[in-house]
Amino acid sequence: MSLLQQSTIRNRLLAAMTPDDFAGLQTHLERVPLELRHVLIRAGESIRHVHFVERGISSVLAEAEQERIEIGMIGPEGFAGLPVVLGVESSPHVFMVQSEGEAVRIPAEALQEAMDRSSSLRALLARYVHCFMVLVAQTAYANANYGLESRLARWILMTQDRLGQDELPLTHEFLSTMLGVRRPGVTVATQVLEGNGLIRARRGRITVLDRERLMELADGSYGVPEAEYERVMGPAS
Amino acid sequence: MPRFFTNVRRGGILIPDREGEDLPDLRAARREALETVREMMRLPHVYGDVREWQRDELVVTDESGAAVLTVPFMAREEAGDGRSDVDGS
Repeated sequence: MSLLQQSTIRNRLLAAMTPDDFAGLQTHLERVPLELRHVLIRAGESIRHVHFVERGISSVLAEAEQERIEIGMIGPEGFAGLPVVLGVESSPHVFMVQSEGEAVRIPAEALQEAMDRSSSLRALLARYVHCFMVLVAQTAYANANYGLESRLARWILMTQDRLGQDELPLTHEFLSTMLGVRRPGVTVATQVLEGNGLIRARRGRITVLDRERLMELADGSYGVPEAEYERVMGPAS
Repeated sequence: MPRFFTNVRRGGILIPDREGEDLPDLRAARREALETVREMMRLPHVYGDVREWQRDELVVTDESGAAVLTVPFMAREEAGDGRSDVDGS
């Protein structure tokens, strides 16, 4: 099997590694598809692989009895498997593919050993963990302070950021799970956004028409984690 | 399982549920609709102030597009027993 080359990588963290750090991981890296709704990490189970997302999105979900709500999302700016970097073997959260794509995965032990050898690798991944914590805090803030329309706008913007396209494959059922609200709430909020010309909604997909006004509607619920990521990780290469 | 669509009637306009949901029967669709109304009343910081919703109705349709159930928000509050009108139109 040929080794993955850093020049072909889309994941921003893998791409931002020093050539030496990347070379240290290279023999362990493996490209894998991300299939819709596939669970990358189960709650409470030992994490075997860390997935650096190349295309697509993994959601991080908190579970309570029958219900799930999204607390964060991970696209090509990050990786699924944060506890591994912090030296913890499992998580109470579920990491599930929300938008199909592709990832580069590495066994958890291989990544931990590489971090033990390289302080620059550890520092890079730690900076992302910080950014993810800011994102989760922002989700808590948005859920407590903003109505459904603003939260839907925030969620559409975050999805567009990670998929890098205007047309987003999203069903109302999925949105209702992600936002932790009932489907008719999503139906009405989507209608309001569409009626104002911010999006076009069709069965199973949402197209962004006016990103600026989505940002206005999302108001303070969107922007802080995104700015923090750019500040901490540097501009996209 | 039959598919039910939970549309929202607001200000005389029907906001269509384009995707619907597979449920065992009309009873389950009714239970879902009532639970939705209850949650919307309970969580105004999520769904908006109750005054914005109180004149709305949930109109459940079947796959043929026929309305099989109408749940007005106010009626539930007044009746307070979880029952609702069935609209056969």
